[in-house]
Amino acid sequence: MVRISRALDLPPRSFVSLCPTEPDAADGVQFERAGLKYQLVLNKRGAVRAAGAPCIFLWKLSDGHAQCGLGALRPLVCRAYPASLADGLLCAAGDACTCRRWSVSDLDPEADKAALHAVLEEAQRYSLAVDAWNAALPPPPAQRSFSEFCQFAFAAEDEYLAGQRGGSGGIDARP
Amino acid sequence: MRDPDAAGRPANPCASCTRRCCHHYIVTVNGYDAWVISSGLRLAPEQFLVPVAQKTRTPHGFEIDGSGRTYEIALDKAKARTKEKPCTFWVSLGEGIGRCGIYPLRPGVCQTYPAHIEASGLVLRRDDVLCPTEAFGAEVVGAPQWRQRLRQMQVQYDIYALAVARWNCHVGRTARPEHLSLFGYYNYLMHFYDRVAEAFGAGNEYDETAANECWGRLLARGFSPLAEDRPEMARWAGLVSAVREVAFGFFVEELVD
Repeated sequence: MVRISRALDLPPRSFVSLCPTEPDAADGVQFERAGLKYQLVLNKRGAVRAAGAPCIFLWKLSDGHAQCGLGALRPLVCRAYPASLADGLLCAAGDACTCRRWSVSDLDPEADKAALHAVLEEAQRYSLAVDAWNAALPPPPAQRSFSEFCQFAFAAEDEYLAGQRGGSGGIDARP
Repeated sequence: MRDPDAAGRPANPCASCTRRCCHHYIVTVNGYDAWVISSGLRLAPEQFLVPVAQKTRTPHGFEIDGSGRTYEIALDKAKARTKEKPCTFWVSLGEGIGRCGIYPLRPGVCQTYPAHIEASGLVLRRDDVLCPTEAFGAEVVGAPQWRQRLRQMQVQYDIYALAVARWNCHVGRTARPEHLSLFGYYNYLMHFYDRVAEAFGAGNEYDETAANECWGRLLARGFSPLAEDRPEMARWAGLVSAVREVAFGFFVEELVD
């Protein structure tokens, strides 16, 4: 969300929505203590029906060909698709693909394992940030907003990038 | 979000885009733009290009039969209920917000909008700009990258004029006119720019910023380095010659007489 928002100069609310998730979801963001948990999801274009709905960033040519409009900016999970790990083994889990069937021979073992590793690493970093956010929620009845969470996420990403450049310091969810 | 500049404008002028330029215009492109998109996205040119008939013939007007009618290539438009259809690569995010879906591969005319370069070399904002007035101050286009993009586009259009001239010569001379087609033209363009890319990457010296500036200045004076050797381009003569050779490497059998 932070990467896309910054690169395209878009406010997060224009392409991200909150979707209720399981109480034990590691990436479940809360806005009030003991409240529901939400995941961040990319918006869909139009109403979501049984057959689904296209991602907000999908463009479609007049001959029906469609492709991601984010290119290199697309989320890591999209970049790694359809590679996944089952019992440590690389496999092609492309069941959601309607245009073709994938097999493990379509994958690049080194590149796809690296992509999956990056997905897991980023997910772990994000769940740590979400933990910090959730733990710092004020006592009821106070609530935090999505805008405040976005500010926190932007600051957490800055903190991480500064650490990558040689700085240090943990995530601080205090307002 | 990035900080606004001192004048209170967003760091990226397109952040306040009201999508008009991506809806209003028929975006004509050159062969290089088409090749960049086609090779970058692995799309056949006919998937995203449409021919647009020219009212007045220009050096970028190609023929597809012996009728003398000429066409330009333009990005296709998406299906929409609106009066002005968006570019086929436009990604609508709702509430009037949207972005280009091929931003790193967007054509030269999009990269340089809303600037233009005068014959004197002065870079100015276009008078007929569709952007919100607060988005692009006249001073924005004074940044060096605008000049570099404009010069690069001029050079690409000059190379494209050579590609088109070579194709039109083929249209006039081919022994099998029934084989001419729009797809044949697209196919030729892709091969042409594959070979031009090889020429650029074949160790020919080409300091892009300086060479494009020199090339662009010559064009403003009415000279194309592709049409005649110019002393100003001596440093890059190898590359210029290699581009010429690319053009004359096509349809060789028609050049015998």
